[in-house]
Amino acid sequence: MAVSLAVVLPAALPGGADGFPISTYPMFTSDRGRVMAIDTVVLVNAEGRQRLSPTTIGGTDEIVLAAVTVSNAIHDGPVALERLCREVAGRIAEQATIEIVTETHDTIDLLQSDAPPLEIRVHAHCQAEP
Amino acid sequence: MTLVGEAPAQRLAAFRILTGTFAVGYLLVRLPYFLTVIRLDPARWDPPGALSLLASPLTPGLAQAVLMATILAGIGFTVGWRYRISGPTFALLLLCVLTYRNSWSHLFHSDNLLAMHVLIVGLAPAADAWSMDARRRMLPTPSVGYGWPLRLAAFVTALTYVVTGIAKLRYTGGGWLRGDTLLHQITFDNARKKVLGSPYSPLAAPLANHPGLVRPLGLATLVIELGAPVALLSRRWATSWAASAWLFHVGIVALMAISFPYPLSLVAYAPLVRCERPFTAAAAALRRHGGRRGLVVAREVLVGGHRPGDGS
Repeated sequence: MAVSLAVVLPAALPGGADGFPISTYPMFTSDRGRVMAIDTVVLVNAEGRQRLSPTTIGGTDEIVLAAVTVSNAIHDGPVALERLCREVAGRIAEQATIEIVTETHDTIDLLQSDAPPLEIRVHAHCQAEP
Repeated sequence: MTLVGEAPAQRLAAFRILTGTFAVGYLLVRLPYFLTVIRLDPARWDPPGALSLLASPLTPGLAQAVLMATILAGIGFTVGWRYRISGPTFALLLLCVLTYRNSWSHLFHSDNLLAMHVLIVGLAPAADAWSMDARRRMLPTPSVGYGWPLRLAAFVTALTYVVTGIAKLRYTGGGWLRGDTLLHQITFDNARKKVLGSPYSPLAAPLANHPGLVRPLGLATLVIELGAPVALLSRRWATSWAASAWLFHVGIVALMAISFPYPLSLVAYAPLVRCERPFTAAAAALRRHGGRRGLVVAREVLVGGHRPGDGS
């Protein structure tokens, strides 16, 4: 009974916080809408803008961890942005500019026709060296 | 189903072998990832639960040692070697390792059930059969002591799905029933994967042209999650619900390229059914086709020593 309550209560009580291993399982619970702002890091060189992998952005192959790392740096401000930019630049072995950006996409158009972002906001940039 | 009920020792042992094999296999397959996590920027450290008192991450060397100790304890847990020590030790170490994985500013939700199941099994008498400890011992008779851990694990399995369903209703209300929320989740998640340079589902784009298909999927999701307690009614209900829940996870892989390995492996649903049967069937097949050598292996490894009434 105690274990059952421990599993259910965080979700049932107002303001219950997510945790581990007891969780409120809040994934997939917000309506994201069709147009969404997505935080990411891109590489800009002579060939144009290139997308980077989660490993290059966040240090692991976890896509969500990479996304959250970028969003947290944007939220935390210039010092965190510079730190992340230098971290990502350190994983790139070519002459390029690294940009931390928020891209606003129509998610369905992006998936169906590879539509470009509706808006790009650059939060920080730094140089990568070979 | 209540928490009080008898079960054979072999059923709990089978669940120990299944959870242990899955957990150790998971740690080994994802070893490069876990070794990378150890070296993440300490500025991202934000531990939940059991590690929330740690102000900073462990040094990479110490974290590596804990990870290796977990794998070794997991092998002891799985084969049932010195289980009074290896059982609780592995359960606690695995909780620490999985919490460590969740300590970098984002909580994943794919390891929770595994951590809770291994905690339950690790603190239960799960090595009284089919284990190194139980070799040359008589098989114990079925008892409540072997039943409650399985029933508790089954309760926890069902409750985690119910909690997930409650969260969907609580945060989005009718959006899930209309299908809008699910469609937007599918397109957002795949779009984010595309923007962040990761493989995404090829089914997401065509699905967006047919929003009418998404509504029944949203409804089915809620029925499976909120209806999970039916799995506790009888074995037939348990099998039907587990099959539905497994298909639901297959659907998540197909539409969102998100994998929940523990339920997909079916081990998460093992406490709902007679999970010792594949083992006994394998032992019987070994006896039929393996000759004397097979008989010895089956008896020593799977049967675990002497049966009551052997007279030895």
